[in-house]
Order: sequence, then structure tokens, then C-alpha cells
Amino acid sequence: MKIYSILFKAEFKRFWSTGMLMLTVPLTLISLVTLGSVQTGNIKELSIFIDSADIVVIFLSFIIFTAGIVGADVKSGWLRTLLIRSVTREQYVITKILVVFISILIVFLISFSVDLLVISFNSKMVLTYDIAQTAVVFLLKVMHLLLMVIISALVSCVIPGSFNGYFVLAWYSFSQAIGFIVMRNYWDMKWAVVLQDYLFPGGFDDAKNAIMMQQAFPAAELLWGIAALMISFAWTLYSVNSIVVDTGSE
Amino acid sequence: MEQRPVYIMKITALIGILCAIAAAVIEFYPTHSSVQWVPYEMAFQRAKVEHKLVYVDVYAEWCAPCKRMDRITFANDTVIAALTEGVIATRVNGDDPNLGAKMKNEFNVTAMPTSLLFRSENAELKRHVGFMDAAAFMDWIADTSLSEFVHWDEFNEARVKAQNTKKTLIILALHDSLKVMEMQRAFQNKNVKQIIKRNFVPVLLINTITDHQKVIAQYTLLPSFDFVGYLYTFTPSMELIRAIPLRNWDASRTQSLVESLSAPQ
Repeated sequence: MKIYSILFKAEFKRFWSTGMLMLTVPLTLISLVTLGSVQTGNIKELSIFIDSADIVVIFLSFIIFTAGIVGADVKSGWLRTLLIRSVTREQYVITKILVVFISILIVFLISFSVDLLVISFNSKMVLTYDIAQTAVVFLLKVMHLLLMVIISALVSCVIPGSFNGYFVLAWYSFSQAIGFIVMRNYWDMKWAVVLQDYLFPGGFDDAKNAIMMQQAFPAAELLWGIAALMISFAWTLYSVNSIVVDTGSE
Repeated sequence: MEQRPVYIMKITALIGILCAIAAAVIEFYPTHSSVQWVPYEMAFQRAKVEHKLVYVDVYAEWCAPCKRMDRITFANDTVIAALTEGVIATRVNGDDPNLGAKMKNEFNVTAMPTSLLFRSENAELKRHVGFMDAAAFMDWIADTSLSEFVHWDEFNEARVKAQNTKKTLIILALHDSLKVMEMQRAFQNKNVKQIIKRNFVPVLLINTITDHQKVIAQYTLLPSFDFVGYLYTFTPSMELIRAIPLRNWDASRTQSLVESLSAPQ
């Protein structure tokens, strides 16, 4: 575990460079404004408020924070340096995913908390708190985010440079658009409906929606989510192991 | 030599595959509900004889929420009892070339599952689109206020009844069924019910129901879309007494309104 701790500190320090901090400040401000504009709508329930924060987490933090998550380290020689120092590829990729995931979470929590404070001081806005539902929605959102980060890391092993984030985002948006078109126009076409469900691994997102719509316990959706998380993680490990890095000792 | 342990990769991949298999089994395993579904054609005949409502479940074999309803909602004892004793329950496969198409074309079913409640064929009372768990389903189907409109007469029967009893016809005409629930709440008040029972023969007309459309067109009801609907009183020979446009209806006003309508003009 010691190696993870040292590696985490090192990666966290590398990640939060001056440039990243300078990017994060406007990002957090944009997040605040976005959440602020969302809260002026008819959102009365805390869990719906958390859900609406998708815009901030996915569209802003995701592209910046996951850009070149693995690919950039291969190109800069950082992965080679680590491998020479007896760090395994697994330790590297697990730490890397955790650092990016926690960093996105921090930005989200800062924006969210500040905005919630603003709401609490705004006498016109009253949010109801269903703690259990809010906690479950938050947890599922976090799991979905972790899945996205892992997929982005996987794509980064294959696509060079910083395009992995854009690729995942485009894939996600494409699946959402197709889903919308199918459910609107081809809702009675068996294969269209079944296929659109599997265009993007959205098990946690579907489970969250089922809970928000007060449906029954979404067992199948949760299992799909866990399956996607595990398989994409295993695939990421495989892809990282397949990257050719000249460590001199291999 | 760089270590490349693969056990984490293998374990996570295995867990992932097992979860995917379990999810697929839950999602695609054929389900069957314990509800005794009556064939569609027979349902309306039975409903007429037994004076019951008809519940129609429009579903598909490949629709995940429909399967969840089979597994959870239609397996619940209370729901089974309600569908067996309270109403005549029938279901239509959305893929069926005849009945499925009929649901889409005639009843404007645009998603699955859709739950429909009919007073008689072509007389839709209300609908719900999407999954409902047992509690939500019971709330939906056993809505006590629903009995208000269920016991109101169809137009032709009401006219005969009004002529025989020399009572005034009170017609609630609505543009669509979306406001039905709101209106039910307005008419479920005990005093309102008594006043209506004493003085009127009540009729509900909804402009999206084919049979009702004819009556609405014949008597030029619902002249403006600016209002949710209109409340009319007619003599048994169909001479208009009063027409009251309804907008943002306040349920507490219903009693004073029907009292004023029942007063001699």
C-alpha cells in the first residue's frame, strides 16, 4: 500500500500543476454559474439538483481532466520513469484513475457546496431533502463518473494525445442522441429500442433514473453498470500492459 | 524485469462477465404474470355484462419496463386481486399487427408500457405511460375519486334518464383527458355529489374520445380552446340553460357552482 500512497501523492502533485489550477479556477466559476442558472429553474428536490450537475461534471471537468490520461504519460516518458523505478503498470493506472476521479469530484463538490450555500441564503428557494434518495443518486452519479474516467483511460491507451476525452464525450452524446431519436420516433421497433440501450454503458445512469422516477429496485441496471465498470477496468489494465515502453531492462 | 501481474485483470474481468450474465438473465428471462388476462375482444363484452371497467396493458416482449411490471407489479397479490375482482384486465402486445396497430392508431399509444382504463370500448377514462410499482399501480387504478365519473352516464343513456326523471342534464365537456383527474377531485366532494344526484343527470364528454366528439360537434360544445373545458346545463330536450367556461379550476368552488346551477333560472 505504501507504493500506492507515494504514487498517489506524486501523481496528485503532477496533476495539479499551476496550469491545471489556472484552468480549474474559471472551470469552477463556470460550474457555479451553470449550477446557479440551473437552480433558478423549478428544481425543488436536492437529488434532482445533484442530477442536473451533469452539465458541469461531464462537459467541463471531464474533457480537461481526462485529456491524455495515459497517452500523455507515455509520450512524456513519465510511464517509462515509473516503470524503471519498479512501479507496476497496474499500480500506475489505478493511481492515475483515482487521481483524475478524485480531482473531478473535488471540483464538483466545491461548485455544488458553494451553490447550495447560496441557495440556503436565498429565501425564495426552498429545496427539500430526501437524504436517502439524494445519497443514492449521488453515489450512482459518482459510479457513472468513475466508469467514464476508466473508459477514457482505456481510450487513451489507444488514441494518442488528448483526444480521448473528446472521443468518449462524442460517443456518449451520440448514444444519447440516438436514444432520444429512437424513443421519440421508433419506440415500437424492437431492435432499435434494444440496441439503443447498449450503445453506451449507462447502467449506473439508468439505475439513477429508475430511482429518481420512484421505480422498483433497478437490479438489472446496477448489474449492467458493475459489469461495464469491471470489464472496462480489466480491459484498461490489459491495454496498459500492452503499451510498448522501452524501460531498458525489459 | 518489470512485473506484469494479471490476477487483478482476470478477477475484475470475471466479476464483470458474471454481473453481465446476471443482468442479462434478469432482463431477458421470460416473465409471466399471475394475472388472468381476458382476451381483448371478450373483455369489453364481459365489462358490459358485469358493469366493470376494462384495464388494458399495452406491452412488448422486448420492453424492459414491461417485464419489470410483470415481475414486480403483476406478481403482487393486491394488484392481482384488483385486476381480477375490480376490473376486467386485458393486455395487448404492441407488436400484434391487429390489436397493437389499433392501440397505436386509434388510442394514440406512443410508448410501452401504457396502462389504459376504459369505461367501455372507445371510452377511455385515463392512462399512464411507463412503469408503475405495485403501490403506484394501486393508487392509479383504485383512485376513489374515479368512481365519480365511472357512475356518470353515457350521453344517450343520460338523455333518456333526464327525460324520464325530468331532471336537468349537467355536462362536463373537456378538450382532453389530461384534466380529468383534476376535475374528479373537484366533483368528489360529498355535498357536490349529493347536489348532483338530487338535481342533475351528469355526463362527462372528452373531445379526444370518438363517440364524445360527435356529441360535442352536434351541440357545438367547447367553442374555445382558451378554456380547459365547459360545464353546461341542458333541459332534457337539449335546450341550453347555462354554459360556464372552466379555467384553472378551484375545487372548492365546485359546490357553490353546482348550487347556483341547481337553483331555478
